[in-house]
Amino acid sequence: MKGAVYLISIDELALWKDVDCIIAMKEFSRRGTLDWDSGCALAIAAKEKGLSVSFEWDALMEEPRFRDLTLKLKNFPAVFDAIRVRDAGAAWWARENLTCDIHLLLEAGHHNQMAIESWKQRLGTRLTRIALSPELPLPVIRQWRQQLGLPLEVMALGPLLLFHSPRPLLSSLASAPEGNEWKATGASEESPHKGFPLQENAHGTLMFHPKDLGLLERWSDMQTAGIDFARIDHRLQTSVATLVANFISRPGDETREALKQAWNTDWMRGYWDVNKSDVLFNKLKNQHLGHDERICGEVLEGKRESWLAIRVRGPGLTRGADLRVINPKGEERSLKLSWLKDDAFNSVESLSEGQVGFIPWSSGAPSRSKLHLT
Amino acid sequence: MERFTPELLAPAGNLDKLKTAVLYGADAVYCAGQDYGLRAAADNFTREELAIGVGFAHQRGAKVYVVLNGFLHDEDLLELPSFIQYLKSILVDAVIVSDPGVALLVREHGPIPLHVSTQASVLNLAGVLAWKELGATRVVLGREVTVHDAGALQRLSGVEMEQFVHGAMCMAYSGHCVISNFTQGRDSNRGGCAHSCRFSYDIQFEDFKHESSFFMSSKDLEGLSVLPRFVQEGIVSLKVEGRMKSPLYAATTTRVYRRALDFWKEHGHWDNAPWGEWQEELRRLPHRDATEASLVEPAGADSIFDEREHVDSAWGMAGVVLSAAPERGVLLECKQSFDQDARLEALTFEGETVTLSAREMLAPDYTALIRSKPSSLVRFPWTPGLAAGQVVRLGKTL
Ligand code: SF4
Repeated sequence: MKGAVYLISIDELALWKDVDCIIAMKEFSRRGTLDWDSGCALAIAAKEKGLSVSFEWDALMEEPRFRDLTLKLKNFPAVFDAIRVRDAGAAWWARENLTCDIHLLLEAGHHNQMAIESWKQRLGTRLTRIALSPELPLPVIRQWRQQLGLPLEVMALGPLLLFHSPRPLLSSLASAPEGNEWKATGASEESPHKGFPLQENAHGTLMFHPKDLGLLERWSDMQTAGIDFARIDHRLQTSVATLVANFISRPGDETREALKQAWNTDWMRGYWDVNKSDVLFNKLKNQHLGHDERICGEVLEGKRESWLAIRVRGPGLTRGADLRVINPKGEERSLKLSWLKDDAFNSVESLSEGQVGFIPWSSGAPSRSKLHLT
Repeated sequence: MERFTPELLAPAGNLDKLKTAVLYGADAVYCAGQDYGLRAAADNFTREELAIGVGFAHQRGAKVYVVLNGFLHDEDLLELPSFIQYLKSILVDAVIVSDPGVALLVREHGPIPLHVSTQASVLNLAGVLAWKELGATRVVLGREVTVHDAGALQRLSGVEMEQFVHGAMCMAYSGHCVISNFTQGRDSNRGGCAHSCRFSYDIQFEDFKHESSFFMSSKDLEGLSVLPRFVQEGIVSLKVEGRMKSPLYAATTTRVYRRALDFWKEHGHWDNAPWGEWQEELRRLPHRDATEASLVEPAGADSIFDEREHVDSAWGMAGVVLSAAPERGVLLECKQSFDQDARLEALTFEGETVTLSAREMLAPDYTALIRSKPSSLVRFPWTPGLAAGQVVRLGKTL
């Protein structure tokens, strides 16, 4: 497993050995700090040192900006081994207009193999790496590595981006709204977490988790799982660059602890062990009122010991039919249609789909209970 | 020759709302099955309800698009092929996806016309072409795209463009917010968004603190005044947000935008269009102020809604007419309680309002009734102009 780091300055270059370098330029990268010329110069210097270098284009762009910036990219410097893209349009454009490798940043969504398969089919051999979503737990990544046959990258340490809006959300609050970039932290009584780092720049407003994703304790698990690249994003704390370099060249307890002590944010493992949102996702689905071909109505209202007002669904209802009433909690009761009335309270023999009517009362059948034919 | 008029696409959070939207004039509705749409808390449709909904809409010349726009995990996909086949069998008009994996499955097990959800944040021509390659026939553009650019994307790609015209807005690039995922264990891209962007935040800058700000909360989109641009650019479909909202919302938004689009269809110009009346009608609904967001130019700081609650509205939802006929009177399904002094107005499908007298209300079994209850039925004497499916609103004392 190889480390991947952001190359920030020529001074830091001396630290890096046998890592993949990412160049993030302001115009193309959401958190880029380099301008075009200094980014290219840095890439050339890294290349001369024998490091592989990729160009990051992770900003999302509406058509006018996309068109302008792709004009610039038409002269894509040959020094870059690959382009890292997030937007589907950027990936498509890179395939059509460049010849370098494509690294896909699939950190938003793409939580199933079919999604990745669709990109494999379209980008072919040009697709040489996938940066995975931090929402994927290790067992899933392990399985994917075996089945997808594509080099995979995960973020092993760095700020976890929670939110990206194109709108300028901080500058209007700032005391001196002139300038290009604003930084702040946000705290809300309504959130269980405090101290969300915030940043506004030309790409909009970004919000990060108060803790950084820190998986260095699991470095060997990552290696065993077959992960090819582990990214460390130290751009917000350049003072630890030496410690990052030490860890990457000699991963172990000592180098990790030294880095952890110096890192200015607490670490968390996120969904690395298990994706907890799965549990809630299953609960959020309505378990009791699901598919049933025998559904024939729903309860609108009931008058105790007298009647249930219903709306007929599906095949319709006939007097004498045997029903099951299933309430929203999933509790079931039997009910015989000893009588049936229409919306005007006149006795009828049957009601059809969409009609409103009245049937004998049943306990435990509040509104939204469903009627099923037995 | 028929004048080009964009499709009016309305939200259908459940079967009742689907019927409401269709009856009030939507050209198409979008709705979700129980497992794959992005609004886990919406009641969503069982398979049988979907079939009924498609039948109801098709009989009245409207289309039904089914939303499959969650970012799904491997295990969520297991039952998807059979669901796709089911959707095909009941003749849904399109499915709306945001996940390329789901798109592949739709192609394999459909085919069903494929629309790309706004959740995929398609913002540029290359993005449209990338999805066209996957079989997309329509793209619901990211909310950041102007109408002018949308028109160009449609002409250059040959893919239909759909844009949001009205409703609540996600402050983030759609699909690029995981605040709920990592703070509350709720996957916002599988329907679990906890609306953290509507919270109040204290913002600490280096040199000062801005207390209690709703800095991440967006005003609601109101694209009524932009309709001439949509028409001019030939945008194929205009979408109203709000599957979770009330039938009053579905009825009012559909009715207003229907009237506006019909005005264009009839006259071929917008001179003397009653914009003020239409806007007033829309703003009777609860809303968070109004913005054109990025429909004309990129949304700025004035699109932030720096308040907690919705702007109070003069009208609430009273109920939906279940049946109405001269010989049987009117049966109303109540959504909230009201007494005999209540001001009740039914919204007709033609754009008129009809007053109902609460003094004459009765219980379903014709016994006396002083006050209605939520989720109950109430009878009224026959009132001309009323018809099943109409929404009745309740005047509030502000
Ligand atoms: S929290 Fe707000 S911005 Fe984030 S997904 Fe939910 S609605 Fe969108």
